[in-house]
Amino acid sequence: MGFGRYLIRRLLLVVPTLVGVTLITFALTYLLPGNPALVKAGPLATPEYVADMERRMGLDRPVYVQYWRYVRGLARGDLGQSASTGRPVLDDFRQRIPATLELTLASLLVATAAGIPLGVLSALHRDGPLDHLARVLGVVGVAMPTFWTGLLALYVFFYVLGVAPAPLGRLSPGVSAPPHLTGLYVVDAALTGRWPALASALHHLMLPALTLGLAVMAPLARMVRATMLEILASDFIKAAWAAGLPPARVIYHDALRNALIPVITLLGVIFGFLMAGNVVVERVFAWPGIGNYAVTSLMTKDPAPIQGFVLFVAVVSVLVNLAVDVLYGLADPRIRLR
Amino acid sequence: MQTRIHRRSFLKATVGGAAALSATASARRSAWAQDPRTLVVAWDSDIDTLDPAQFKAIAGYVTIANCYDTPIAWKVRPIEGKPGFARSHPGEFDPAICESWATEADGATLVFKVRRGARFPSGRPVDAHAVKYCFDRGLQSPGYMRIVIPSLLQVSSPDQFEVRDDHTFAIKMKAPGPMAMDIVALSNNAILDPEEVRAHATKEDPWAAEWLKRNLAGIGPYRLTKNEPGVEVVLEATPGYWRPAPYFQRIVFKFVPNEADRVLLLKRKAVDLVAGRPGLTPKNVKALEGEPGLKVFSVPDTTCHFLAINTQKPPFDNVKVRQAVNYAIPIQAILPNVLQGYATPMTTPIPHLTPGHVGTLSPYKYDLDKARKLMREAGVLDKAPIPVELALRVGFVAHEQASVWVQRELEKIGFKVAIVKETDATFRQVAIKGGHTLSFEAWQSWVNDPWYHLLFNFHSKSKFTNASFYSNPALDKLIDDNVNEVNPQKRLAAAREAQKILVEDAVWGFLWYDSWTRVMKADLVGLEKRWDTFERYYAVRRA
Repeated sequence: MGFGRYLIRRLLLVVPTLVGVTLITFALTYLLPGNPALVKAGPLATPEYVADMERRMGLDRPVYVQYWRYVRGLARGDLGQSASTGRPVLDDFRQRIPATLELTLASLLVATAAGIPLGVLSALHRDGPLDHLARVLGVVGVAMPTFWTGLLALYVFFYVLGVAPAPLGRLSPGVSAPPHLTGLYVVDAALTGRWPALASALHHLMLPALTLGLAVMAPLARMVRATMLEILASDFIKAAWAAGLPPARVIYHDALRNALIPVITLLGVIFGFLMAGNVVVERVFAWPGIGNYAVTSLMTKDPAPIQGFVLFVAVVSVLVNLAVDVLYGLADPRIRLR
Repeated sequence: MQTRIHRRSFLKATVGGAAALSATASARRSAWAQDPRTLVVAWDSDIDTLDPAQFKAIAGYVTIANCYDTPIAWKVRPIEGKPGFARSHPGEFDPAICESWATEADGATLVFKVRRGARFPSGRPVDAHAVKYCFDRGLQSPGYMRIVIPSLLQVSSPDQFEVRDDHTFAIKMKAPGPMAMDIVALSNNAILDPEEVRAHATKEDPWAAEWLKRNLAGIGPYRLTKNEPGVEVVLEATPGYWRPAPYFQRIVFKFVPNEADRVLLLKRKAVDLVAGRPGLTPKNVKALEGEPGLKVFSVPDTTCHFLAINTQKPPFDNVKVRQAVNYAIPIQAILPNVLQGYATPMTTPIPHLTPGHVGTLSPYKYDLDKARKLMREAGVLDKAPIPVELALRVGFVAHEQASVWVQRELEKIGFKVAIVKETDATFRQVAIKGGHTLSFEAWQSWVNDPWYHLLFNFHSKSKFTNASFYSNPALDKLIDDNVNEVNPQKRLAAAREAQKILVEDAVWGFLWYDSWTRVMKADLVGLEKRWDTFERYYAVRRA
């Protein structure tokens, strides 16, 4: 079977997954307690007014009609209206997804930049002081909830030391946002040469990205360490050492490259975890992303944003998994031949 | 040797990366934080709608209150002993868009003189037609005003709102109304530019409710220049406003969902004020008392916090059981431990700042022997422990903390209490359907009048707001007879009668009247507390 057929089969599998996702998101808000019409109508509304509101929102129709309307809306890019912001959910998403994506990517960068070298060094100095330190860091990183490490970081770096900016969003007040290209302020500012905006965006990204990145760094470092150990003990590395190749070449070119293959899978998992972990970190740092939006919507039982959020995370996970599978197929021919 | 190089490159990669990030850390403090004419407020609310007549989230109300003038306003006077702060008093009003008023027909007609010289941003003059449009719209578009105008302003047809000339507007009520002036002063009566609103009306939406959700079309000290949900709301002073320009040129409301962050921001002086509902829990307010550079403003207020007791559900349909609950509430412990003193113990359902409040009627005080005796007399103890759910809303921290105190005492008199936490939306829905047995509720009457308060909380007709599902024909009659009674002596005597009934019937578990509390930078003065809880920033300035 060629790579093309593998890709098509893999893509076709996405369709039933997405249908399942829409069913779940629909059922989610349908089954949740709380009547959205009542929330919309307000505390002094009369029962007649609430009934009228229910009718206008289509809540009096049979379940399958409501589901069909929902899917039809989705197909047109209509995610509904948010009751708590009074705007179409799609507008809110357009504003917030770049913030979440920027934070997620920055955290991923922190996690890989710290996790991979740490894993390699731990493997090279197995059971040495550095390995133990990495182990302790790993346990701490996993064991401490991010809302706590985030608050602690804010307390130390913002309140006590004053080196971090106030948790008031993505840019300092008075710094205007760079022109919209990708929505990621760091990228947009760098591309357009808005240096004050770039500095401010990086400054604001610092604490949340470190908080989130260090939380997921630990499993990454452990994984790199384990595969490195395995590969360093394998025959081809022994052969390389015996041939007298320079250590840098053996470790980085031969060993690490092979050790990174399972890391691709892990990065996919970590990406999903980061999208979910965002919810907490965004709340702590007042980061205007979709995690914050989802929590606020849940509290007010605002159905459209909740559906939209679940749908978005599910679609991202499906796409990331697809990308991981494709990358795997490219990297390792055994997979697509199976 | 080699490994040392690796170590170095590792250090370069990680420490270097971190250094690059923190290189910007020395960045100077923000431009706006330094600008003395910008006020930075932290809160956790988004604008859901800007329609003046509708129900809204806090952010919506505050924006309306600062961006729209009303016909008249609740007058505020300086508070003795709290320099720099002011509050309103019952029955006192200030001119706003209407500069004077008079009554005709023995008080059944209110005549307002609309001031000359005020102009909408469109350049059109603010006149009696605009004032009429605001009331016409309130009466006929869905929302809060459609409920209160017919019942409390006694106006059922737009013909009763009369334009006599370009600057004279009259409200012809069916009979004199004791609450009429308060109703006219509500922030919901925002003066709109009728032409502007009509331009956005459609056949299905004759009052442009859809357009007004997201747009402002009137006149006020501030205008909305930015609304980014989840990020910030920015108000800027209106150029050419008919009153002198406010001190603060710009007000920036920052969305900060986490309370611990709000505390840190205040302590670092990165924001001027924390607002919202309530923005800070009593414990954090207490911790900020005495913090250098900050001050706490706290005044008694009319918000009632109470245990709603479902009078239709056994065993609470028995008055003795409800009385027993009131004897078991350890308010003397809740006040210092949960509310840190920023509250007043409740003695009757009518708050202590409301005319007609009688604080001496209640016999209830924490007395477990008395409570057990009442439980025995009620004959419910043979089934003890009686399982009961105590419902509250997630995020209402004072309720969450107080619930544990109440639970412990109720279990001593024969109940088995399960605390149930619900989101605001779920809580409201269950409450309206009568699904709660015991629940923590809060209520504030914007119209500070005993009969407004009694009508919504205890009349059997007030299906959605009578939280205890209380139904007493004698009380219903008392409310019907007095809600529009103009003789002050009669109203107050009847209010005393109503409170006697409610105290004896133990319709609510009495908890507390909240104090209105804000923490701010020490140089801020001019904050005003009106009957609704929404700050107007027009008079706020730095000392």
